[in-house]
Parts: sequence; structure tokens; C-alpha cells
Amino acid sequence: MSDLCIQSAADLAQRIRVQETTAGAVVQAALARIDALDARYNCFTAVTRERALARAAAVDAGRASGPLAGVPFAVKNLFDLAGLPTLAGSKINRTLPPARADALLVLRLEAAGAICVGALNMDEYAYGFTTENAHDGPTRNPHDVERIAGGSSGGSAAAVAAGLVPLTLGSDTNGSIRVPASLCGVFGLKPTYGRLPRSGSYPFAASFDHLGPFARSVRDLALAYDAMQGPDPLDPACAQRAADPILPALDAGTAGLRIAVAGGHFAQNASPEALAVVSDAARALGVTRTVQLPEAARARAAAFVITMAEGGNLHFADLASRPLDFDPATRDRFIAGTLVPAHYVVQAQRLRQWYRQQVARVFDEVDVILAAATPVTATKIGQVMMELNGRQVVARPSMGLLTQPISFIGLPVVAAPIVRGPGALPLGVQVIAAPWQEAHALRVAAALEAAGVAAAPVAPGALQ
Amino acid sequence: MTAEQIEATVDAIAAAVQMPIPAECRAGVLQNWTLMHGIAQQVVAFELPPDVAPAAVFRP
Repeated sequence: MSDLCIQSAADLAQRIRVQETTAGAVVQAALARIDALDARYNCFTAVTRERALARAAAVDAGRASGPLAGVPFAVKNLFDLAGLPTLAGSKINRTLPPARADALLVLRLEAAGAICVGALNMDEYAYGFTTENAHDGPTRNPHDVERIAGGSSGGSAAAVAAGLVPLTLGSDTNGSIRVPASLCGVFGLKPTYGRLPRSGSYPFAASFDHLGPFARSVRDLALAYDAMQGPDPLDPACAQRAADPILPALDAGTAGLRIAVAGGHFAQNASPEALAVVSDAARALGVTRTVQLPEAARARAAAFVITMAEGGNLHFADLASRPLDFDPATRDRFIAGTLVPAHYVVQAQRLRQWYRQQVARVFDEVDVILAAATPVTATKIGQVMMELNGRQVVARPSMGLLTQPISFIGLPVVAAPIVRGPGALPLGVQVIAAPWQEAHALRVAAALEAAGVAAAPVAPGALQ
Repeated sequence: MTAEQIEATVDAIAAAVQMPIPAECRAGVLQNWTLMHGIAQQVVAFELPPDVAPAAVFRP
């Protein structure tokens, strides 16, 4: 199988730029690898072969250029792709008319020269942490195909971990980029809430919906992130900020950054092995300080309530008229979400405001906070319960215990996969920064990568 | 709340908002509403000053 498939986006773009290879060859190699391996992992729900080959021909003819020229990528199937129905992991959306245009972030990546090769599996309507989709089947973890890829952007993480493409896009409402990144052993970036526009993507809980990239290197995350920044008047939550490119400062190191480990809720709800990867990262960075995010458990509870209510509201009409067309894994939660008292939701939104102010004070003292991304490694497909520090807990919602208090207030986070011993399943750390300080999180993640503490190699099983 | 009180509450809200609950979903809806209700107590039990406004995004 061609080695083109397992190279980074930056390396591929460079090789195409200096004419060592062509966009056509790179895209053909990616399509061949998807044909050969996707049945094993079930990442893709659509492959946009003709579109990708036409685009590659345009790059090779000099009609398209940019920092990602010729780099294949794929997107969670809640992003609009012209000519395809935007499934958002559902059966119901299959009957919708095809999207008439690409999502804005797809347009921006393609304006940078990248080439979209398809759409990726996810939990139905993004309501889950496992990508065990009843309509399209489960996405399988490339590090152990009996295990979940995490979710809801499971196809996006697994496609990168399997080396099918070097770059994907996903969404994160409560952890749906960071959880699968951790479980599949790849890098993921959830930028500040409102940084990247969501136009042309199917929503879940608008209060918390974020979009962001997955990749096998921090540089690739930064390349994609820089290509996607910029205002968008069509997304009411988009901050309308000018682009703030990170790439020039990516290798600045951690000098001047005050870094601490999150204690309290984040220590109590992580397994010993999850705490060990945080310790590994902290040791490499020379971090000894611990900070507390006040009322993080309540923050997670409030995120849970708001998500349930907004999701139930969004799908109310279909839940009332065709409930049995929903995935059983999401249906009953969505129906229950239509029945959440307003008092709970309003109080949760007020708690969000309070918690934001409290955490802002923590960021007066530190610049970056480290926490585990998932409490445990990937569970088995179909597993209902899991053990967490001696307690039996329901596996599906518990995967978000450590991510929800962070996305609740929209903080930027890089999920960085920490190098573990041979045969160990992947685990990642969250590198968390203050609002609009993506650069701090990416610089720390780049330092961990440069030190050999964080890495995202293609899963060994996908190289055989 | 007892299980009976929760069931009665869920049925009353569902009737008010006109959300039918199919028989196949009833046990799951009750289970999820009970979970939500329990988790929400952490939120509503927390006293907030009156000047803390909801954080929903709106820019006129």
C-alpha cells in the first residue's frame, strides 16, 4: 500500500508543491486505501470519488493552490457536502434533499487546496460518545476493532488513526472531538466557542456546538485551523473575529506559559491510567502545580441538562411524529429532553455564566490546564457499564465526564494522545487554554509532541 | 420523587407539550428523565446571586 497514505498533511502538501508527487496520486492512494480498509473500520458513509479526482486534477493543472493543496480530507456527516443529504448520523435525514452547497469550513479547507474525499460516521444527531450507530453500524477503533472509536465524531477520529486520510473535521458539543481523539490516539482541536463558524453543519445543542479538526500531528491541526478561521455573519454564535493564525508561533515552546494540572473533579473521575498520562505530560513540561475548577461537577450537570433540552427541542417534530425512525440509542433521551422543566434549563444557563467567571479567575493565575480527556481507554462495542475507580457507571455518558465541564464554557482545547507502552490502548490529555488562546494550547501540544511524549502514529493494525 | 411521582410528572408534561410516548420508548424515557432530574438537582440546588444572567447567546 502506498506510503503516501500515512504521511502528514504538511508533508503531503510539501511533496506536491515541489512536484515529488501529484495531487492525483495522493488522492488515488487515499481512495484505494479507503476501498481496501474501510470495511474493517466503518468510518465512511460516503466516498466522494469523482469530486475528489476532479479537484485533484484542478490542483495538478495549477488551477487550485494553497497551504493544503492536494491534501485529502473527510468530514463528519453532519457537514453539508453539495449533492449529498446531510445525514447527521440519522435515518430521517436520508430523505432530505441533497445539500446545495458545501459547509463553510469545507469551502475554506478547499480554498486552501485540500480535497474532500467523503463523509464520516457518527452517533445519531451527535448525541453519544461511542459511534455505535444503528443505521450505519459501529465505527471500530483501529487500535482494537472490538472496541469503540468514541464519539460522536468517531468516524473522523478513526479515519485519521487508520491512515485513511491525514485530516478530518468533526464537531464537539460535550466532548465529541476530544473523546474519540483520546480513544483513537489522534490529535484533535476544539477551538473556543464561536471561533469557527458552523454554517452548513447540522446542529445538536447550539449553546455548545463547536467544529474542529483531527490530525496525526499538531502542525496539521494548526494548518487546518488557520485555513478555517474568520468571521461568518450567518452563524449567530460566531465571534466575528479576524483570523489569528497560529502557525508562525507553533514552535515557540512553552516559555512564559504557566501550566497546571486540574485537580478535584478531574482527578476523582479519571482512572489510574488516565491520571498516569496526565502525569507523563506534566512531568515532560516540568509542571508541579494543581488548580481547581470550582464546581466542575455542577458544570457537567448543567451541560447535561441544557444539551438534553436543546436536543429534544430541535427534534421535537420528528420525535412526535416518527419516533421509531430514531436510533434506539438516542430516541428515549431525545424524548425525555422534550420534557425538561424550564427552571432547570434557565438555572443551568445562569450557572454557566457564574462558572465562566470563576474559571476566568483561575486563568488569571495560569495559562494552560492539563486534564485527562477520557476517564478510561476505549470500551468494548456493545458494553453498557464500565468500572471507574471501583464504581460501576454507565459507559456511554461517563466518557464525557472530563470534557463536559470544559466545553460548557467554550474553552479551547487540544486533545493530545500520550505515548504509552507497547500494546496499551490510546489515551489523551486535554490541553486547555483561556478563551481565544488556542495558540497556548497548540504550543503546549507541539512541545509535548517535540519531546516525544505525545504522538499519533497510524494504528499498527492498519499498517498490515 | 418516587418512581410513581416521576411517571405521573412525565405523563403530565408530555400531555401538556403534546409529545406522545410510544410503548417501546416508555421505560427508556422514564429512565432518562429520572437521570436528568437527579442530575439537575445539583444545578438547581446551587444558589446564584440575582445579577447572574443566563448565558444564552443573542446579539440584536
